[in-house]
Amino acid sequence: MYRVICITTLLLGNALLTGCANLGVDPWDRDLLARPDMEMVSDPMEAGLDAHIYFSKEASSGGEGFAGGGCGCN
Amino acid sequence: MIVSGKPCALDGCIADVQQHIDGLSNGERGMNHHRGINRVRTSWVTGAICLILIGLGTQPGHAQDHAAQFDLSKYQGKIVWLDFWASWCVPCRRSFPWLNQVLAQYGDKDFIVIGVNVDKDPELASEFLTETPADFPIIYDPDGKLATQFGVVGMPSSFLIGRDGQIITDHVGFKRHLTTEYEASIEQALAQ
Amino acid sequence: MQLKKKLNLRTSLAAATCSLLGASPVAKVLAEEATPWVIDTAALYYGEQDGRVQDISANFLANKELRYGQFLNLSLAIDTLTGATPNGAKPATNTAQTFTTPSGNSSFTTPAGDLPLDDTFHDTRVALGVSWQQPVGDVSTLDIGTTLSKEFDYQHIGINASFSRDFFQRNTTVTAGFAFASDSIDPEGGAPIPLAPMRGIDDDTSKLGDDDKEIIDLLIGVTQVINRRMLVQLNYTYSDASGYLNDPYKIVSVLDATGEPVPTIGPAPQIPSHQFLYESRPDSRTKHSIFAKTKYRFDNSTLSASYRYMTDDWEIDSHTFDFRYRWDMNRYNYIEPHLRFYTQSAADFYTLALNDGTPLPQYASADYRLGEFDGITIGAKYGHQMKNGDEWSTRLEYYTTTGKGVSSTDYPDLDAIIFQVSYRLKIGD
Repeated sequence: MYRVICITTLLLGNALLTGCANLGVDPWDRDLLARPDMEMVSDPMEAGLDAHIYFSKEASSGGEGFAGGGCGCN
Repeated sequence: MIVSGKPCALDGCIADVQQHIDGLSNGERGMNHHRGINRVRTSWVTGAICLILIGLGTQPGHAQDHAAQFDLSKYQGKIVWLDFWASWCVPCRRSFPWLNQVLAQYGDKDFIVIGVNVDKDPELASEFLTETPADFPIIYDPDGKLATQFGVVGMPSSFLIGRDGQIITDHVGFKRHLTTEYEASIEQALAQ
Repeated sequence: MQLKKKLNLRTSLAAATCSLLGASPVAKVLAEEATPWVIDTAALYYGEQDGRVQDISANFLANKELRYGQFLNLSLAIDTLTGATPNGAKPATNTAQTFTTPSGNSSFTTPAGDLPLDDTFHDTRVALGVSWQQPVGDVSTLDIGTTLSKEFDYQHIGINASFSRDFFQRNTTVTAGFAFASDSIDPEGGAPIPLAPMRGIDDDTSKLGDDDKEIIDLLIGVTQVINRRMLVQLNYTYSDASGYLNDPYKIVSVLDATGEPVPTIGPAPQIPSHQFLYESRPDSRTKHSIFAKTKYRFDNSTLSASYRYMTDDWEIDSHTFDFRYRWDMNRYNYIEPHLRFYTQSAADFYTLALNDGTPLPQYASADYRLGEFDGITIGAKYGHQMKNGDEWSTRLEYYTTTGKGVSSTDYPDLDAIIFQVSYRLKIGD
């Protein structure tokens, strides 16, 4: 059973990464992605305040993550 | 003659760009230094037509596409700094003052800078240029044909092209602390 | 009282883009030589119905890009909490109930039929955060930060770090991160012994001193550009908390066969009037979360949709759906409606009350936040950008929760208003 899970995860991971290789945009086509409102978290202040409220009133918290997207500039 | 950096509506503007570049490479810059009355008159007329057509013809979303006409062989014998930029690219904003600076510094020695804009909306490009002016000509590549041709892998991208038309070096990004390196590579290219 | 694990803006791994819950590329600056400080300020009001919890806070975020592409982010939040909160006791149909206050110095009484609320708790909290983002090579970023918060009975210290790497011309970003928090609780009157009975005034037999807890969070995530208009993100978070996880101010009622609270024995007036036991939760909690989010840019608007599934070893499962639609009215103004759906199942040791005569369970809590309920938030935000580049925005939201299933009776439903006003400015431009 463990072996099945292991192999499936590896295959899925491989498919994901291969799939990921085909998706996306050319570096010069990132005009819309560079917009501030297209950041994954476009309003960190609001996100922080909401996280605080819902953490205080519910049993779940967190989950949101980091970087990616954006203008891709160097 | 056209002012560097203003979008052009005519193929004839490419010729103007070429004239401008020629003017620069011969140690001349700006309207006052063109050789020959005829050239000045031609540029004035072409420039005027350009401006009229800008008003009439340029619409948002229909950025003029110079990529097809761009021919590197025109610049044989010169060192070319080809810079791909966009209005939405933050490091590009910082690179322009430096590009103007190296142009001023090395422009009288067979060195030219050409900016290639990849914005899809020419209005955004012209707004950028109003805030952050360029002393060098801009070529418009809204469909990314030139970017594809040069193999741009990140924004901004700069290509240093030698007198023989071959790419000497290229880099992605603009970092202020690396400008001495960039300048060194220009000087090295000019020395050859 | 509320909020035991102090979430600061640098939320364990709920941290966002590139730095602090946000620092980062949000600083899209127009700079020549010097880059400006981008300062975000916000005043927030959170208010529940019927004299329940009200929270007012002042919040600041300051972000600056430094010489080599590094970012420094500082945050400060000050908030004051007032109002009453349900203490976990069940309303009694026929009799008033009197409780000893957490400090043990006095008491308060709830009339028959009313939801027992403890309003002796007023607190002010200060939270600070510092974080640093550093490019590593051409395609990676390192982020480290620390958070601190202090309030009357609670202290939090945390550190966090994450590493991101881009692939396929920055179309794919993989991030791994961790956060560690060490919190200490020094409740008013002392941390109660779990399942010990509430005692009278100046009787601290059921109380001990202070206690602490540690939380570790691990995150792994992928962000993928789908096309010119669309991004998706998928994260998995593992969280482990251990130590004192009880809410020191929450009690559980003991009911007789008729469902009424069992009175305490002794001459009147008895304080407390009935048997109340301090709650007891396990001393460890392991959570797994999967989070998926997508953003799509239309011609004049941006849609943001996310889903989070959380499951833990307290048998709580939750689903959160969040939708935002930002409509750019023009270059300078936007309006963004927001809709959020939340549902959670109860913890396996959650109970409305305990029954007299039955053996005491190992763990029991009547804290409504561990119960079974649905929550909806509906609101809208309006933002305006000024000619000088500064921006202000305001939002108004309504958040309501309703108990269901095991929490369908006597559940302290919530009706709250969230109101925020924000201003962003740049200094040193």
